[in-house]
Amino acid sequence: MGGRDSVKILLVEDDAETAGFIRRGLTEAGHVVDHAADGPDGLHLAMQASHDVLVVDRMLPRLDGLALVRALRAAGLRTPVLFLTARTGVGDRVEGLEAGADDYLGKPFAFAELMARLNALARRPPMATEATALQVADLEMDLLRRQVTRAGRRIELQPREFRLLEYLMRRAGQVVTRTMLLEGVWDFHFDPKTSVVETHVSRLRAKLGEPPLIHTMRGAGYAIRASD
Amino acid sequence: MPSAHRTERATRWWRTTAFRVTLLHLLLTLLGTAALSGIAWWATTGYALRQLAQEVDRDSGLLVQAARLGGQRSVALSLEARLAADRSGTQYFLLAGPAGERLAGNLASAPESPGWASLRLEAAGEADPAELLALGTPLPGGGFLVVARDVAPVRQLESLLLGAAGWVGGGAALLGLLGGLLMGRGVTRRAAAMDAALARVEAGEIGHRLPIRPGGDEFDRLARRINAALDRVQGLMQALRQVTDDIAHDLRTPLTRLRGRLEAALRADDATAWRPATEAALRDCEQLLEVFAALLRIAQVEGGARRAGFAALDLSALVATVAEVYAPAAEERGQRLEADIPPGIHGFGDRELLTQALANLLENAVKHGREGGRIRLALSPGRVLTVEDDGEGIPPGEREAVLRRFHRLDAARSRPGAGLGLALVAAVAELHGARLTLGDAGSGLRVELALPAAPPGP
Repeated sequence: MGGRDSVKILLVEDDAETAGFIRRGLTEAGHVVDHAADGPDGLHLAMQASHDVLVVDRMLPRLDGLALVRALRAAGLRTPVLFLTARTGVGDRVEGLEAGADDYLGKPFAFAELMARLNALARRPPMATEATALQVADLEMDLLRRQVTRAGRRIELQPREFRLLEYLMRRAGQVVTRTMLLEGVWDFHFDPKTSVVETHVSRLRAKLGEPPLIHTMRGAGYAIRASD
Repeated sequence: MPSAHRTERATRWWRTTAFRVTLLHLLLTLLGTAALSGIAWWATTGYALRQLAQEVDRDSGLLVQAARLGGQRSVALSLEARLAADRSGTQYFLLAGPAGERLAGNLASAPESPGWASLRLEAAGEADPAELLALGTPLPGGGFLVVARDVAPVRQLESLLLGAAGWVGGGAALLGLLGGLLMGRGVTRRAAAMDAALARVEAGEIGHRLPIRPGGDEFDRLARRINAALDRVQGLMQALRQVTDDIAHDLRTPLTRLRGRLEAALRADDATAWRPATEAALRDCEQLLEVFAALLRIAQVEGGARRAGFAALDLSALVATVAEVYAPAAEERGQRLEADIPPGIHGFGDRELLTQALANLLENAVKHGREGGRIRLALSPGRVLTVEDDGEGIPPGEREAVLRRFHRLDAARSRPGAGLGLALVAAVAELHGARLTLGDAGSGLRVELALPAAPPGP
């Protein structure tokens, strides 16, 4: 998934096995991966070469992930950072984001989740070119007037459905996981047992009509794109 | 660590607070006595000297008067009479002629000039010369008169006063020392009692507490505070032990299943069997991690660490969001979610935890409520949150138990779930100082969560 254009990733992770498995997975998906096994090496590599996205473990030898990201941000490096961590308390998450990380993923994680989040970070449009309208095939979203039309026909959406669709359309063509939707659309930082995401997506899909634009990626999540 | 304790015991006595208090007490007593004695000495001897000078002055005046009326002869006679009458031997006189020659009196020589003077009188056979206070006056018609008094009585008074001051000072010092020792011993005893109690806690008797007297002084306040802190620590330790036990008991079963599945897949010669086996194993993993995360979260909430995340929040908005998320899930089961949420109700707490607690309650309602039935969600202006379903409910005898980790009703065992949902709700309620009540809603379960107006104290 997402292998159309390759992304250059710096992975800073001290556990050799975890690093190997992430590296293999990302390389198979067509990405280029640099790897550093401790904080100072990671800092050095990040400053030397340009990467599209950084994956940083929080607990690193010699310079912990939090300090590493703070140092990078202090040096003016704006590359998106995804924290990997075994510490997933709310305090830890907030601390990580405040240090300058862009996203946060708790260990253990599903590889599909990591892929989806990395794609979202690497292809995120810069803030300056914030779009006022989004488009996928014949589906159009006017962010200023908060209106959605498909093939010129107006579609009425609830505020939360609008946010869900906006979240998907901003990442058109990319896989968006269930957890990403829970966090991004509903601000839920826990995993509901009931299939709330599934029901919301299927309702939205029904409202958007045929041919379907929101596709279910088995074992990974959802993606919005023109039907093949 | 008994050795560390022993070194504390061996604290030198001069380093104790009791000794320092005693010393300070003693020093202040001595200073006070010295100051008081000084003032008394200065006032008394000063007065006696002034009295003596007045006497000399008066005497001198009378004698000058006698000289004016009766001439030198009269003065000489008067002197003789006085000296004869003076039994104490403290009076001294001298009458000198115009040329300075001695005419009468018991003084050998006169001071050189008129006015007040201090004389020393060497007496044969006495080691100390007598100290005299003398007044010299020129007489009308020539001649010189000296009237003097021995200062010894004043000096005697001085030494008497000094002696008295010494006794008083010594007595006060003794009393101060005693008082200080008694006070210090009280302090030492209380501290030793607390020390001994804490040593027992340190040695592993985590349930032991410091003694508290009915009086309630600052030591008792301190002891009460330490006891409260120990209660808290004990509570946290028990919670931790509970989690450890839970993990040991309830993760063992799914782990055994996972292991069996993987072993069976390895034994199978057919490589095509591996794929479904791996997928099933992954699902087992997911489930295990879920339970693990839920347990950790409950432990974290029970530990009270999350109070740091408390803030004022819009309860109406929070409840409305969760209702909106679960409405479609209820509809999937043909249930109607009726939400009665007046806007603008505010409260205090951890937004994320309250959201999850409410989500758990709604999830239970959707899961255990009657298919095609009704779920009611209400928030009252008094911050009472109510969730009602029309399922089978929970028998009154079981309501306490369902709030515990891993407790599942027999009827629910066939359905998926780990029995952690209500345990988290209970922990979140406890953290917020909220009252959680399970009751009847006609046929189903009615859960009430009454949030307090103010954040709970630490």
